Amino acid sequence: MKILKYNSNIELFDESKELKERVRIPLTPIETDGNIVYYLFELLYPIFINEQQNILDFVISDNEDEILKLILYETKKAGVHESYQILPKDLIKSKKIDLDNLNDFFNIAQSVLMKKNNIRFSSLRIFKNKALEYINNFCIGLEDRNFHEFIQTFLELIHKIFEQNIFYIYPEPNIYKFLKKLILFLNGVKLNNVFKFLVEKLAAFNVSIILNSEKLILILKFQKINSGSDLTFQLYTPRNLGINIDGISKKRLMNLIKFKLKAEKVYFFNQNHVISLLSSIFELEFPLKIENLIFILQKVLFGFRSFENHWYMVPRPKIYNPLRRFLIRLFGITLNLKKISHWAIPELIFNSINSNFGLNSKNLLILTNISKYKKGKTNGLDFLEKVFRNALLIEIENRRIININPINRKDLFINGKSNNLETIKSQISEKYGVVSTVIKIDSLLVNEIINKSVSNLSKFKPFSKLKVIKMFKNKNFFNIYPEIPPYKLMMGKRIKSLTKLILRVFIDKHEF
Amino acid sequence: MDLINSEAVEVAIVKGETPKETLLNGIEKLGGISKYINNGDQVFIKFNLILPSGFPTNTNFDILEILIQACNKAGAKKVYLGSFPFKGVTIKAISDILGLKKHFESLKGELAFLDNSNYFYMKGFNSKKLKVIKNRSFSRVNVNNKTFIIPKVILDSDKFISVNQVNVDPLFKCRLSLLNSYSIVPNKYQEIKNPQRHNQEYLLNDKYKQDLTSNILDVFSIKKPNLVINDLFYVLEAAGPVIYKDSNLTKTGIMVLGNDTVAVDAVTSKIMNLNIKNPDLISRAEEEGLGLADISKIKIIGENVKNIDLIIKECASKLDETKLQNFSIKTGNLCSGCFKQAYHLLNLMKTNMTKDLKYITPNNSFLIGDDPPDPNNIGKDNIILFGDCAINSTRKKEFKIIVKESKKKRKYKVNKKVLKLSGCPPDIFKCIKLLLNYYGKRDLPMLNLYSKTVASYTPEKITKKLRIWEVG
Ligand code: SF4
Repeated sequence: MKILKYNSNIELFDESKELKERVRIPLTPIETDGNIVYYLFELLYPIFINEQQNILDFVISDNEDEILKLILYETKKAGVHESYQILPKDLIKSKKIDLDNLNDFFNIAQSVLMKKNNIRFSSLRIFKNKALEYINNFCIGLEDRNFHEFIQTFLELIHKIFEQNIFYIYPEPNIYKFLKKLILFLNGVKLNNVFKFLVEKLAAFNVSIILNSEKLILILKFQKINSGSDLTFQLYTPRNLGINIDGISKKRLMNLIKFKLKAEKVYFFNQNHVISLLSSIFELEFPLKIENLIFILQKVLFGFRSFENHWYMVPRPKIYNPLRRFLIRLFGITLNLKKISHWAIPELIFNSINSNFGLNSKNLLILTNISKYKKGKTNGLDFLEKVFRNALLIEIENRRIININPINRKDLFINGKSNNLETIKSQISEKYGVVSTVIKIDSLLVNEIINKSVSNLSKFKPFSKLKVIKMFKNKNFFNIYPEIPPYKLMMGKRIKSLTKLILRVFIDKHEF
Repeated sequence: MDLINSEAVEVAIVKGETPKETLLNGIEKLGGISKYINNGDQVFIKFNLILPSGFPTNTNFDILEILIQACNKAGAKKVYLGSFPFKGVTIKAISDILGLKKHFESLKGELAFLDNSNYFYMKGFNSKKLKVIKNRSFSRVNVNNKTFIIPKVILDSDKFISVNQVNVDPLFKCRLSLLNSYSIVPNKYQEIKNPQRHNQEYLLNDKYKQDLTSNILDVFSIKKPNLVINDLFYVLEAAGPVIYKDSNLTKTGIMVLGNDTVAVDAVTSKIMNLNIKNPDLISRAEEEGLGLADISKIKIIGENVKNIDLIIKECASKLDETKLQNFSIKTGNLCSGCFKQAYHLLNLMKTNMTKDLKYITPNNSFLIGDDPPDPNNIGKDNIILFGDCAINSTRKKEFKIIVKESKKKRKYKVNKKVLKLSGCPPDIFKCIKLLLNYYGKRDLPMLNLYSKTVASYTPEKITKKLRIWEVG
């Protein structure tokens, strides 16, 4: 309600106004000033949801035969909710709403509203009663939830709503289609678990991200205090932090924020680049075409190589220092991240998947956690079973990931028998058809990959990054059965010559 | 030569939701597996085993599983599976990479190491021992004054099943079962040998293809399958028969199977809208009495031929359609030998050299065949002469010499920017090595990585053994 009041009072967006009123971003525990919330809705809603005005909400019974509530939100701009009115629930007379084809219902509702209230709406949302129940439950105690708990419960809510088909929107925005298909595609793999897994893998960090735009600069602060899953988040504008941005340089702004927020690192991105990346993700089709994933990867890598062109960071990563790069060149290693071959890397991955796994294949991915297994031999009969954590069967058909199936422990291991990737392959093939490849990766290696590639960028430790390759060569951390040619090559080469061979593909020439 | 009893020729066309279900339905339509396999039979299943790569370069392993199980159920004493792979690649290498030996064992089948590559890593083989094993594993067979060696396990099997993954092919439009049968003999015996090549007549009449067709049919006549399956449930189209950058997999849901290879191929060609006379392999097979190609005389069970109209995107029929970035491809008169090898080399480059092709110097000409057109920029272009015809016919061409004119005199220099890929036709793996030497590994990092990856399963000492064992 506070935000509606705020929106209705604000005439024109003006960041320079002194803001006393703090509001909560709807459906989150994040409290920030009203200006930011207004700005976010004004910016994001037209891009991701609908660019026209006014929304009509229906609450219907779970069996779809009764309209329980009808609310009209008036928006002076798309996304900026200004006021709402509860309309008579029998205003639109429709026996049963055809939820699979909302076009007709949209047109009927539009003409009734035009006739009776002389107003047009652009978007129609239908909540089954169950969805509202879930949303209400989600909102209980929301303010007291920390950021990590909030994201977890929010993802859980989304999962339930889409899995049970209890929320509809017409016309369907890309983000809605994406989430609906993603959840179907994930086939029981919970989004909140994926999030939890990834957060757990990250070492403690304290970073601030500046999202730049002409209209309003946003400052995001993320912090993970322990190695567990304590994640915090705050949202500011420069004004909130007492920073006057008039004529300020990027570098000065980043350094000021680093100081004010006591951040280890500060990143600077442009809002439109982030939005463009998100739009590309939401446009993904399901079943997932590998070439679309490759396209996203190309975008990300292109962004990555555009350091000091499209994005900035303080402290400046030492790897970008030409002298240091020159020194490691003396060891025969070319490592210029500004020359990362943003299109050749995805191409190589794409070709490798096609030729090694084939255009149709089923591949089993096993995640282990050997850090929990301290006793015994790593080649013991039950070693793999003891360190097993999760498994996914990924089915590819004509370069599309058509299915991801979580596999139970009992489907993989035969009691009392020596369990290795080979026995697992034949065991799983019996139930799911011929499995081409079994890939085993350990959590410790995932930790290393995430931390070495994301959070340790500013440190100049090229040889510590070789540790990741070393771990890939250790069968306890990474193993493939049967041994596909690239894996065979990796295992047969010394780390240095392998690194050189790969870096020539990964990094473009003419680097100095 | 068999006399064909057209009434006994049966072909089933089946359509289904999954490959497994479709094959089972097809076998059922033909009267069940026991019509083909008797109790106590030794069965040999010939499948596509080309490279250590995923489906559909090789046969769908789900289909093989069904076949092995069906043969065992019918009381087969032993079920062997095998084929000779691509030149330079051993069966052991593919088996290790794809886990074939163990996979077939788990299904109660046995991978036949037709090339004896399971012995390649063993020590202590003197020439005497080698001869004993060779004699034990191969028979020499003469057909039309040609000698082939063929694994005894195939000849001695009571029943022979051919299961073929249908993919597009640059020479025969599609890889059908007649073509699949060719790889029951080692690569050495699949090669077309003709010392009197490079003359216009040879090229104009495409004698290479004629000889190849004769050879395929000769090999086919040695042991004809009892049950033939063309699996076109999924077809690799646009570029093939192995997976390339331009390849696409299309799902038809169809399989064609029967007891006569020529009939099965003829029906498959018909429903795929391939001109029945072209691929001429089928018509030649019929002429030689090796099977029945006349659709009107074939007993067709299941789906109606007229109701199926598949449109498959064929391979590029001209080499310059491959479109290699920074390369211009120029062809003179050429036979199918160079066409096929150049097709594969160009596609392989397109697939595995994307970065290299982008950053390579922009002027490169690829000249193929007899008397090819001149390169675009003489003196600037890197000129690649592919095949003996291109090398021999351009000996006296101007582009071989660079003229440097100064005020006082003219200087003639040999154009060093010429790479000769010799052979009739050239060998692809050798071409890759020569390309890397010519351009340098630094300029072709992707091809270098690819070549190292290939070398990881085709080490020199093992490929040498293929020659020693007469199977390379
Ligand atoms: S060099 Fe090539 S084109 Fe010439 S005869 Fe030999 S295979 Fe045919």
